[in-house]
Amino acid sequence: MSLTNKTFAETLQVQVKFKLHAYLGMIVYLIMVQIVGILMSLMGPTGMSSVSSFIDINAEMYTPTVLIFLSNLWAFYVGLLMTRHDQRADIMPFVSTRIMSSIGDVVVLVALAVYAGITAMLSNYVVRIVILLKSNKHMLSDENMFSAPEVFIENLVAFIFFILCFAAVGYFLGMIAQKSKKVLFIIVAVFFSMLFTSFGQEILLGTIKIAQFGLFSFMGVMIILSASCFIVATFLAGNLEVKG
Amino acid sequence: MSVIQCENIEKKFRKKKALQNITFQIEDEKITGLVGRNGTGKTTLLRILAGFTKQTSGTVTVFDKTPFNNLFVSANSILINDQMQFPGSFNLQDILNYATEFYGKWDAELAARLLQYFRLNPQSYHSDLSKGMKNTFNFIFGLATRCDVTLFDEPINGMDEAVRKDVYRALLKDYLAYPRTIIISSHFLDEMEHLLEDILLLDEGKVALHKSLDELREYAVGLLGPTEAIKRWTAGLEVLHEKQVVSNQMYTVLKAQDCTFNEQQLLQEGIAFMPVSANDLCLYLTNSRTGDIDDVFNE
Repeated sequence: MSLTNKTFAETLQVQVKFKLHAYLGMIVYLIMVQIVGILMSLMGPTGMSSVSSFIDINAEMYTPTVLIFLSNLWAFYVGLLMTRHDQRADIMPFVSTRIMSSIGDVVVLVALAVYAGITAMLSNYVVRIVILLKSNKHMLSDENMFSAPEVFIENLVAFIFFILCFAAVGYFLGMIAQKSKKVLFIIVAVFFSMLFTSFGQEILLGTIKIAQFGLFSFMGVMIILSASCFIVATFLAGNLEVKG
Repeated sequence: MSVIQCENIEKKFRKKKALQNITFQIEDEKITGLVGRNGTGKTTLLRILAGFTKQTSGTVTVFDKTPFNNLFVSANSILINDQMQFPGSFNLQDILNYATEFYGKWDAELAARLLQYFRLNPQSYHSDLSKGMKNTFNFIFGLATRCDVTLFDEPINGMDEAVRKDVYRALLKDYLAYPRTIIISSHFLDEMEHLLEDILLLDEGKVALHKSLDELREYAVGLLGPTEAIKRWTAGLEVLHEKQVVSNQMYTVLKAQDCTFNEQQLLQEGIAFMPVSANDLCLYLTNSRTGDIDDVFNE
């Protein structure tokens, strides 16, 4: 009897490759979501008009809010999906442990968040190009990746961490649901009831204030939140039994 | 050398005990048949051995390690069943390609040849296959991993007779070339008796019997003859099974160790000794019902 001895790192590497391949279909959903985001951004600008006898000014503000919102929703869904019984069972015919599988999920979610962040950022540029192509429009704020690379990178990093945070929350809630639907209900109920207490509102506002302080504080908040969700979810996954 | 050791395993699902006081050892390089009626805990036991689920109490070791959440056990064991799932976006070839990367002893050539023999298109998707074809692919997957502990849970469900015969043959040939520890749970004991060395019989979540097939064949004896004579000879003995064959003829199964009769005397009274097949014996040992299905229809 000659037994195989595989290291954690080499098995995890294969597993990440496997999962990336398995979740490739999610990219198609992301593209669809971001196309919808582009269309919605173009359709609904907030604006103001000023008319005098000589000049007619119509200012419209296009923001990537819808794009980010939809990308976050997608990330939340992917995080949630990964915790489902059938999704977790897909890796079971292969070499794995529950904790390794969960770490693999986290790596894949990070990779997908990076991809989603980049495409969301680029979709934002698609919105700008379409606006420019419309007649009689002039771009007032036209920082781009060449004229202001630091703004571009800052926005890109913020997009990625924001999307990752939603994926992490989805993964965390999904894992809680797999463990116990009652606990999930209690967590969601406690979270929303906290929002109606002064203590809960203070915490929320404090967190938002810290996040608004600058890129690094925003990143810090997102990293702490995402890491906490991933660590708790991985711990829970370690004890979950798999059907099939 | 024992590869699998279980001591006093108990598994509860809510309040129901699926397994209780399960203690046995399985030696290296043996094919063991795991048999028992529906709902006796065969699948639960295999899932515990594969590390898919945790026992409620007791100790389980595979290669001297606890299988649950253990990478070493996972790398050297596999559980094949009809609930196996693969990502929906993978075709069969993708699955086999990844298996090469995951399993150190994966035999890609064997997998490809078996796939071709069983006419499974490598470009087709696992979820699109019929039940029998799905199980054929799962079997190929399990065989080609060459894992030192290979667990098959009802591997032949849905396969037609010709495929089943080929599967048994393939399993035997590969086992002879690469001996390893194999456990097969199946309801088709008659068909696969020639493969097995040991039988582990479960009944109501407990080990009813764990013996070599040779020992099992000698475990019981059937007596066929006049009812009155059989009743007289078997009085006070533990009867494993009895059935009225025709109005005055009876068939009775007894433990062989209890049959210390004079064979000549029995023959003179018209009683014949009959061998009891392993499959029948397993049925008799696990039958808690009184009477048989005919009695349901006879008022």
